[in-house]
Amino acid sequence: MNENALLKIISRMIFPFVLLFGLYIIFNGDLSPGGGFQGGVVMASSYFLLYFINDINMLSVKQILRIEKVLFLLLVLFSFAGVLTHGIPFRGMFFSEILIFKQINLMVLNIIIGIKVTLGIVGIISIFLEEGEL
Amino acid sequence: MKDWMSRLGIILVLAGVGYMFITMLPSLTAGYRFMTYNYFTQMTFLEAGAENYVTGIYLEYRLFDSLFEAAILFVVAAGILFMSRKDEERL
Repeated sequence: MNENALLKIISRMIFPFVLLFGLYIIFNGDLSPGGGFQGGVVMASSYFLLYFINDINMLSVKQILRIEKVLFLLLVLFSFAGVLTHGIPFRGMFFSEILIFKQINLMVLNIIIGIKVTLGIVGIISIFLEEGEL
Repeated sequence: MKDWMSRLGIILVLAGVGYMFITMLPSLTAGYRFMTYNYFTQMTFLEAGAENYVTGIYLEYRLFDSLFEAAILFVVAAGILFMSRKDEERL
């Protein structure tokens, strides 16, 4: 048999579990250690399991940068959305005595930052890998 | 002659830094050094709604810095893509 068969089979089996673990770290950022930045790096490492071993390229760098622009604008707009209800930027939209709105604010910020970090690190290392093949 | 002078200078600087560090150690338990710690420990759940103090600090008290941290990641990716272009007519 091909000597790379073991690596390929194991990486394809582990990929969904590492992705799920990264999503777990992002979504539980306000209860347990973790958050947006940490979960984003774990999700990027799950992508590279497939890219290194199986040579499957799912995203091109131009698409990644296009999505990142939209996400960064979304982050800025959501941070400044507190101006609409309170007149103060960098506060939640409905920053009130109710706990659920504060938790929703934290979770949305964590999700945006997590996806942004994933795409950023995937883009940076993909450029280096593509340059090595030329 | 310059060899032992530079070594003597390095030893003196290290001794000075070590003396300053040792004299700073007794004041670590003073009351005024815990003002920010007590504030963040007691008020993070009331103001940010997070049980994790680190999340409460970087997403509510210091959200402005997290904005620029996300911007740095984006600019780094775009900059590396720009620098790695070869054999293209337009920049």
